[in-house]
Amino acid sequence: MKMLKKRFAAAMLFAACASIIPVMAETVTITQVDASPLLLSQTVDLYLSVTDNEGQPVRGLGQDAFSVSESADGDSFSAPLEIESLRESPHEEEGIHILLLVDNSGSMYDTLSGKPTEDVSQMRTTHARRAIGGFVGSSFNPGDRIALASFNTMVTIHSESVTDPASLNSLLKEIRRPESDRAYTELYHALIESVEPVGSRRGRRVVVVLSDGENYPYHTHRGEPHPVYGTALRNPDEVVEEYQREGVSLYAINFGSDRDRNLGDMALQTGGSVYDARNEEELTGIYQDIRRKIDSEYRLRYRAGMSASDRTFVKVVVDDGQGRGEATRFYYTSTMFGIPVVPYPWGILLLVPAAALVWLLLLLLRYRRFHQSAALQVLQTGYGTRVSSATVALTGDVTVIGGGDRADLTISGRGAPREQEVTVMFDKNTGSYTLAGGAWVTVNNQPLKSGRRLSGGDVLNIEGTTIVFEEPDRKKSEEQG
Amino acid sequence: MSVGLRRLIIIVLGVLAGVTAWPLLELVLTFQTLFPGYFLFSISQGGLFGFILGLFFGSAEGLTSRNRGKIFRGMVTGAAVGLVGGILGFTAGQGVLFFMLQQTVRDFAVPAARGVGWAVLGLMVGMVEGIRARSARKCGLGALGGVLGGLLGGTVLEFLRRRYPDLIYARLAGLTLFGLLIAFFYALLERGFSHGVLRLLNGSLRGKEYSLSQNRLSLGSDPGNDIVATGYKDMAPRHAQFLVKGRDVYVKKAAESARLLVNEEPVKGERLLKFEDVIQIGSVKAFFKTE
Repeated sequence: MKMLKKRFAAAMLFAACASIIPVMAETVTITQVDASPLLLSQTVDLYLSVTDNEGQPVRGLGQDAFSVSESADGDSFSAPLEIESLRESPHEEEGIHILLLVDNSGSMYDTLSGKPTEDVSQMRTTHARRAIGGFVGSSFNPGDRIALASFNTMVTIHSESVTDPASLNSLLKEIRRPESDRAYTELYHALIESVEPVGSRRGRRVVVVLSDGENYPYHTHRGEPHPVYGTALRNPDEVVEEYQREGVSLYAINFGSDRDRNLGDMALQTGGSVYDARNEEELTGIYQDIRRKIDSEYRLRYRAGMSASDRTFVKVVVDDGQGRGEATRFYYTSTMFGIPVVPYPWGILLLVPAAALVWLLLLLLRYRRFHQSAALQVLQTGYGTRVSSATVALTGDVTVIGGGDRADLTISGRGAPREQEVTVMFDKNTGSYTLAGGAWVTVNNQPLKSGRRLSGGDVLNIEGTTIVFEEPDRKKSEEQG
Repeated sequence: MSVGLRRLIIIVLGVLAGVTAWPLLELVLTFQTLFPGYFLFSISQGGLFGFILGLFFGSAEGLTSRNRGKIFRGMVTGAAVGLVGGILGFTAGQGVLFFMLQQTVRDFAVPAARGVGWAVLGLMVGMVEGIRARSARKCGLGALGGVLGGLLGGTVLEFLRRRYPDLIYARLAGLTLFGLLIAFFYALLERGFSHGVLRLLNGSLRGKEYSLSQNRLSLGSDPGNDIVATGYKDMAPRHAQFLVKGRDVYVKKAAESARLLVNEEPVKGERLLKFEDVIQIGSVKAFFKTE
């Protein structure tokens, strides 16, 4: 088990690293895997970013330049799979979902060089907001949806979907300077919470975070439980896992002197990039670069294989004659029953005939008693009434039902017969049974007036006790006779 | 056979269905990579599972009444309904599973999605007896029982799968429990929504009990009746019918010349029944009692 875990961890590491390492001249990044058409069409969409040595998008690649293969374990990959289509810049029509996550910690209200200031125009946050406003204003396509969130000690989602660039500026104005106890930087919590607003949407999904410092949790540095998260802390691995599971890319911009040391790795492992900006101009350029990178992506649709695993690794190789690069990511392929048992334990097939045998036994089981002689069967008794036996075989000439010990069937308690006893007499000549008693006894809910000849299935009621007269089973008697 | 024993046998059939389905499903799972796609794979798995469950549950009525014709017809109907239910349930579940994995994956997503699939499957399998009996009320009861059993059984199955991922028998336990719980909830609801029990008192069906959990219940010598009374004198092919109206149960003749008495009084038109009434249908005697 440990060995398996190690192999899986190695495969994951390989997958993460392979998605960012250029093998030769070109870098391929699988920015997102969309497996939603998998069930009905057996296809998977990959969003790919291909850049050259200088980081510039490589455009105009044909389907022949790509090769796709899959693996259940991340080690041994299949033969190349059929590529159904390749589309350059698919987001122009489809639009993208971008969540802009803005640092609103106390240090964002210092100058760009980190000095405290009360001059709003000099504050880092002012530059950031202007850059964001300019970016959205100039790069907004009709199909795009933009969400805005800010974070310090707390995370605030200002809007989950803005369709009008103008309304984003008013949302940016809503971001207020935090009080001192809210000036911490819950970067990792914020990154995880930002996934949900975009993760639930279809198509290309991106979070762009702007931060001027490192993760600076409230609980760690204040020594008290966080008002929302308590003592829970998040780590970079959790952030990456969340983004990978949701199929969201993280683009990270450091807008200060203290970049979080894990921010770059987290961005690269999720299919995004990391940037450093020193001023508003650079920041604006970075936002434009992110947009350009996303816009220049390819969407590759391929016919997926059948992998008996909860995760399927997909490897893309790009070779256009000028350079070669490859990337690997995984997507989820859990099925209703899960992963098969290997090797198949053939012995368990014996359960099928075993179950069939039990079924046959149920069929052959005898569910009722056969009477050789007539009998009285007590169906139910009244409240507080007891009977000496549930069934009495009528073997003698006279069978007595009464309240005393002499009776063949004794009814005692509240429902004991108070007046006279009830008798069932057998007539040997006719082979019939006759019931005698008082009018307080009923047969088939009719008062017993005098002696009554009984027939099979007659229902006697004696002071609330219901008794059925059952005739002998002829067939059974005949069989044994 | 009492209704209690009959329900116990249905629960045993649920267990047998789970036990039978498990090795066959594991076998299909082994050949997963040979399937051309997940759609056909889901259809095959779901169809097989539903078929087996339907086969067992469909045999219940015939088995408990020892009527071979009913066993065969019930199994055919059950297998057909189960097949469709299995395909729908599994495909729906797989679709939801892929969708959730793609869109909003959280720890609960996989079991939740699978739970949907199991519930749909349970719903369809639960309706087998209602469809066989052509009773909307029984279908409804079965569907509700199936959903509850499917959801709970599926949850346990998922829990076992996750708790003991390397234990081969975890899925066996889960599937068995799935079948058991569908049958259990069906039996529980049938009892809860029953309007009474009809106990036959004489002849070959002596001791056999029928729960009045459907709106109409017919009795006669024809094999198409709910209670097939063969070997009785004075029995018309379709002799009498029990009707549930609101909370009341009525009995009426289904054929003009049929002999029908309640408490030894001839019935004209419909007769409202009360508990402990004795009904004589031809030569069949029956006792109407509470559950």
